[in-house]
Amino acid sequence: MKVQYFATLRKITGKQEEEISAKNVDELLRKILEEYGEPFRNALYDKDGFRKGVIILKNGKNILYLKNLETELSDSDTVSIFPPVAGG
Amino acid sequence: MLGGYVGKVLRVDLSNEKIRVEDLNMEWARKYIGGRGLATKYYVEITKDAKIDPLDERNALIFATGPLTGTPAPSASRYMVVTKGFLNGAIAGSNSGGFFGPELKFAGFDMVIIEGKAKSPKYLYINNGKAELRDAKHLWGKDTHETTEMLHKELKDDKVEVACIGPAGENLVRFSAVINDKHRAAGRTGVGAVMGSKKLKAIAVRGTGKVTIAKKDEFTNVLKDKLKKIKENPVTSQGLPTYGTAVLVNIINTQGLYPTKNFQYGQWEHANELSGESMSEKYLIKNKACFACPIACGRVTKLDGLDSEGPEYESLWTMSADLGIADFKKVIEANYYCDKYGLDTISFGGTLAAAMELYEKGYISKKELDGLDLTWGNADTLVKATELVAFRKGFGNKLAEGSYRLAESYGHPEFSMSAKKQELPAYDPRGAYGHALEYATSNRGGCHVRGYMISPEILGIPEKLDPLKVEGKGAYTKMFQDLTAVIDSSGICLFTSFALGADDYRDLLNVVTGFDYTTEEMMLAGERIWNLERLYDLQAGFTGKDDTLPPRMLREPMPDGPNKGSVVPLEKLLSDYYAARGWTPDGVPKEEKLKSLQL
Repeated sequence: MKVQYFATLRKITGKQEEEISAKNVDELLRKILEEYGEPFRNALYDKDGFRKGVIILKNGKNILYLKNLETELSDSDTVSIFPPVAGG
Repeated sequence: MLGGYVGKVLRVDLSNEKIRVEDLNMEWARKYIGGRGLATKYYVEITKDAKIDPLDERNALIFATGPLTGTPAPSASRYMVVTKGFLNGAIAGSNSGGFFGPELKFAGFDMVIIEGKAKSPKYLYINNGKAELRDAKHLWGKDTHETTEMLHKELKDDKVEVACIGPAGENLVRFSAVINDKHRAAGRTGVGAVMGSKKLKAIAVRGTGKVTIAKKDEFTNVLKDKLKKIKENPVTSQGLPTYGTAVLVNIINTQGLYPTKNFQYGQWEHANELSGESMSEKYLIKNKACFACPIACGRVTKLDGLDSEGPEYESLWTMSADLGIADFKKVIEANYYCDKYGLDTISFGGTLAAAMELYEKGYISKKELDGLDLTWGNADTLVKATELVAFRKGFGNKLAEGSYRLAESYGHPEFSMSAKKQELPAYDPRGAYGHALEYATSNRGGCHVRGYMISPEILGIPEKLDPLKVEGKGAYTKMFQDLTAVIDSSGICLFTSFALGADDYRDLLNVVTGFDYTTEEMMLAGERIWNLERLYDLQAGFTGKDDTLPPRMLREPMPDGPNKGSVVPLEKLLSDYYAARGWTPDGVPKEEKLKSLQL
């Protein structure tokens, strides 16, 4: 599926988006962390898990309202990952 | 010992050219904190008739700081302009950062209250406790940048802080702003036109005093604790400094509530090209911080000789997606001219968007446009319209009335995307129901910063709420609105709230003022302020029926994206909200509520 990165994640990955295959969000995150290591981990996680404000969307829908990390993915999906950011 | 407040109010009677200084009412200060709250209390006591025309000379215009303004508390730069707004006749409170607010405190005043109308253009010069009205005929007609530079030269001091109006305020554009530091705007509700009607071109202020801290010994530790929270929070330490407020473009667009072409759609195909990430890469020169701000979200941008700031998220959206304009350079240019002419960007873009839809639907004919092309996506029109509106030239004279009056004049007010006649900001409420409630109930009309429900509903801060759930949104929105009233009244920037909570603001207020608020008393002050504003609006002629949204939000299902099919269930949201507020089903505060708030 298409994976989109935003804000500081673009600096860490050096990419705006890329194609990765995974059966669910959990597997996808494992693959991404394996590739980009500690900087990516620090952007998304603190000692308690996901940082407050991390957003992961499947086709624009927050995975919290789907099946969270167990949300199933297919090749036609788009996953968007945001570190905590805000504005207004 | 009390601190935070200078303890002095400057009263300026323009009609009689009289100036006097009076002591700040400290009993009111404790109950209404300062800034937005305290200025509203002064406003309603001074301007007794809520039904007056906003341009009536009896309409007071108040520039107010908060007790934290000018202290080393994080982002304590804010001042508030309170009056009856020219855009919609509701209580107006427009908030700005930069350096003007702190300088006013250093010059010895918490607040400046302007009354009456001058016979010829004047500016108010305040210097270390002294104030005088000076002739401003030579400044009338100048833009905000020229005015600022001319005053620096005339007063032989570059450190003089200037808040002024541009041609838009002089020409009584309904959504004209007060601009300070050339690019910081007290933008919303048409406060610039009220200043223009008084023939007050500018307030120039210089001060070398300091703001006293009540509990100096405790202040250092409290400050250290709050700065640590801001430094450790990824939003305030990374996202905002790196990308500015426009970092929101992709988040809001991806989640399907990025209003496109006058809120006809919820996603825009060019969002990523005109985003905070893209601006940082192509146009950003450096960050710029307001007074005492550790966040520094301000953007200094450079483009073909224009030294500009911004655009901020709302301005970028309103001049791009909302108009279908995918030319970043033209958006930066138009934003620059909005600052220069003194226009509120949100209402400017929102009005142009309504005009483009009216044109698309055939209600505005080509022959009345004097060559102005209102086709979606026309970037040249965007830049040209800033001048036409500010000077009320040609079709710009109609645009200068704002989207509601424009659309109503063609018999179709439903194409105005506004609440209480003020244009909505950059979030389609069909994608966030708590935020819909905020739009519908904001005391100054369509507004996102009186109870920013996007934060919990979309950004997950301080906790994640389901944006399309109704339950609990009434009470949550009330809580956010009350806390925001506290923050606005304290003189601190709302962006600190991404890292700080109610107890943090209580700590800061207590060490600075010495008031020893409990969190409950402080939040009660926020609720009191909200209800005072509500009572004013009711007396001005608004009713619960005005707590509504454009028909599009209530009846046209979102056509695209992840919120496809959604409309705002406003009736249920409102009844929950009124109940949470202790108001009647018609939206009127009940007697017992007013009693408990000592109103």
